[in-house]
Amino acid sequence: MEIIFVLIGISLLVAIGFLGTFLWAVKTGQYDDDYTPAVRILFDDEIETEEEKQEKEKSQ
Amino acid sequence: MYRILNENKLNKYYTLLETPGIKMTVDQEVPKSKYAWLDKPEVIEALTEFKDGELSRIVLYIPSIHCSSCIWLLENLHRLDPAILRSMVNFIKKEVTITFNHDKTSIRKLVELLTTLHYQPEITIEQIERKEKKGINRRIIYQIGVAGFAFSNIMLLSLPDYFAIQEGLAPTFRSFFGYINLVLSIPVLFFSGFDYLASAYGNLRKRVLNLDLPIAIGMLTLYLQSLYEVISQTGPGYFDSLAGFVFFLLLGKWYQSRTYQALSFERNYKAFFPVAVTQLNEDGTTQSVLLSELKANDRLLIHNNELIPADGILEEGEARINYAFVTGESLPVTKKIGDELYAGGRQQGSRIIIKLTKAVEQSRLTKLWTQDQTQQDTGKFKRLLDIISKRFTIVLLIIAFSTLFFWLWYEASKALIAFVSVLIVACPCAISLTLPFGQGTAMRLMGRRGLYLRDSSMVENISKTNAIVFDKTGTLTHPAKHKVTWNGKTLSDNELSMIRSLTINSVHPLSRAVAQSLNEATLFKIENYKEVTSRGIAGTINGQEIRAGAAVWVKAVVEPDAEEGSKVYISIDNDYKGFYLIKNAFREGVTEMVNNLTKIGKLHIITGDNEGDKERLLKIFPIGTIMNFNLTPDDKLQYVQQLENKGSHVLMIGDGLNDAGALRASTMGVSVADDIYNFSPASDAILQADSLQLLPTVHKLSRKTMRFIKISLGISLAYNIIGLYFALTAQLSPIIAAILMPASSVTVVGFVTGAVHLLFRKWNKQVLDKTKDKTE
Repeated sequence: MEIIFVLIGISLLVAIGFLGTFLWAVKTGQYDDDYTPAVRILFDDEIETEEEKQEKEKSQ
Repeated sequence: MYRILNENKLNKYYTLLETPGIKMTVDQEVPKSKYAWLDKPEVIEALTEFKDGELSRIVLYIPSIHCSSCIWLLENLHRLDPAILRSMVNFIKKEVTITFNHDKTSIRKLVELLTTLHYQPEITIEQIERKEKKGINRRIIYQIGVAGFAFSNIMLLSLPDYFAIQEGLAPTFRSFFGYINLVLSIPVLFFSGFDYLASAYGNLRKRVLNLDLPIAIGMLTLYLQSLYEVISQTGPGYFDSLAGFVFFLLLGKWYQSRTYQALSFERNYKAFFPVAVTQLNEDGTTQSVLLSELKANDRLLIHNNELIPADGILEEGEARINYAFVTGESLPVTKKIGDELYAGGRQQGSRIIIKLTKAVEQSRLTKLWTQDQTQQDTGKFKRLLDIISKRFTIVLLIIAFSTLFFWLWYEASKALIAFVSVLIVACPCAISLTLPFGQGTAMRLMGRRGLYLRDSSMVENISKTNAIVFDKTGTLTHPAKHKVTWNGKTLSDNELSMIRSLTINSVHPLSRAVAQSLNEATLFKIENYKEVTSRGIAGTINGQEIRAGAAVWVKAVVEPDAEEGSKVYISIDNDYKGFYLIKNAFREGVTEMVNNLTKIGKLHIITGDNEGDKERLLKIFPIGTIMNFNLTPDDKLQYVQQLENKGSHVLMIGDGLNDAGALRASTMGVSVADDIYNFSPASDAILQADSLQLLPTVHKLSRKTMRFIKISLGISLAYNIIGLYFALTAQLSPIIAAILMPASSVTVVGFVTGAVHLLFRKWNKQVLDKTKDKTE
């Protein structure tokens, strides 16, 4: 059962890894604004109109 | 605005939301010079957050962001101006961060673009002078992260103890887990819990006991006890409780600050009353302008008795400035042209023209108002609560230690848990928070409807009033809508001009009425202008002395007559010319308001005017109203003072001009404001003139607000008692206690704020229904 020591040791290391990732995420500002990104993903990409398509073809 | 959007294929703006944008009146062309000051290098330097090569980044606060369309539009700014690289919106803070090429465009152009789109940014002087630090907010999140990490791992390692597997567990594992828990708890105590420890220690050194002290004691006790147990192998320790309660405490603290931020966010920006002054344009015309729109180099006309809103240089006129407001010294100081005049001074003399050197710091004026120390003190209720919160900590510590000793004697195993739980569970936050949140919300909601309170504690004062005193002129009567007729010798154009030149210097409603009726007359220069309250004004024009005012002042022989209205007598060079009869127009809704007010208490009218309007007043006011005429400001003060001495709480409504003393003496002094506003520091509240009829409802709502506050305090008390019961009997674990504490304060604050909001919303409905009836 001495294997427990190793197991616990490794799991702690993994946990510390996660903690480090969390701290990094906070540091790079990902949690500063938690409302706007939710809205932002709902914006559509632009649908090309006929004119724009023709312009693109002309320049190519 | 549609034109701009359409040109740039941004028509999608309208498809995103049915009612996009704000009030669209006309496309707002930005006056060219309005934002010229944004080109100044110091300003650019201060506002720029980041600069590199050809890119700059700036953060602007835009109060009109309110929907997802706004986010979409503001994040697509780069399509409107290719020099903008990207823009990112933070909806909660109503900020937009714009990264742009500073060689191709400038901050000024950005702001002008935003203004044309009706997203005018608000740039304050404070922003320019002080940079905000964002880093501090994150610290608590780090602390929560560390505490959470430690908590969950410690709990994991404590599982064997929970399941009481005594036999199968070799002592080596026991101590191994114990030591790991110990190590994991170190960052919990010293990093996550640091603020509590530091605050308790710092306050203790100053011999102050604050609420962090019990928590700090709890933390240290748990840790030391557990340390002892693990090292001496007598037990597993309480590290799980320690980490757990620190984690939940921090979580609660974070959540609390988020809630409070959301609830009070508007306070800084909308708590300021709208004050207007007369601005002199380059072409000589004047217009009324809000203080918040003034910038450096604007030129203002300051009339007699008007306050100087911002620092500036005297350009024209005789300045005799009374700095009582600022220094307490009430002797006016004479200033020459070119001298600097400071904000807060009051002009006493004919009007002057001042050129501002700075934009208005509205906060400075408000601070002067709220810190005026000669004012009556804060409500009694508030003082009671202050005393309670000071005693709270020491009482709590006594209870906690008593519990400790009791359990140590009775059943020692439970002692520690009971002790720590007692320390954590008690929360006086409700006591110190309910009042500001309840009153603050009420104050803000009242502000939206036109009543600006000096201080949130004024809500209590309003609720106490049981007698109402009205000033007549300017308050009940509308200073602008009146009929002015001349009775007397025919006046030449020259004389008319003289009268206008004299009367234009005063802000007294009667004087202004006369001046307005003579709008076309030319203006002469006036010397030796003086104004004596309740008597009249006088000055010298072209060598002749001209006087206007009461009959006594003008030395006129007057036959008493029953003509309704106020009279302004005129004499030029001691030659009595006649008088202006000014038929006052009473404000709209006065009758209705008065009827509603009788429920509150007795009504009184005090006025410096004569009995000319008595008949009309009798028609409006109910029987039993006490009317007093021909009072001087001092008389008015005495009158109110007497009422207060007899035990009544007076709600006084005046215009702040000649009733300043009375306003101050009353429990609640309200000054009524029109567009030319005479800022009176003596008042406890400023009521916008067209909101006059809201007064009875305001009174009712103040009383209900106070009632809600008392209810929420009751809730908090109940929580404390129940929580303490469980903690004392050792039935409460520290973790649960840690959850309960912030939960309780959030509940109480949320309740009070929500209740006040609901209260005002019902009122809104009533007002809306009434206006609907009117239009139908």
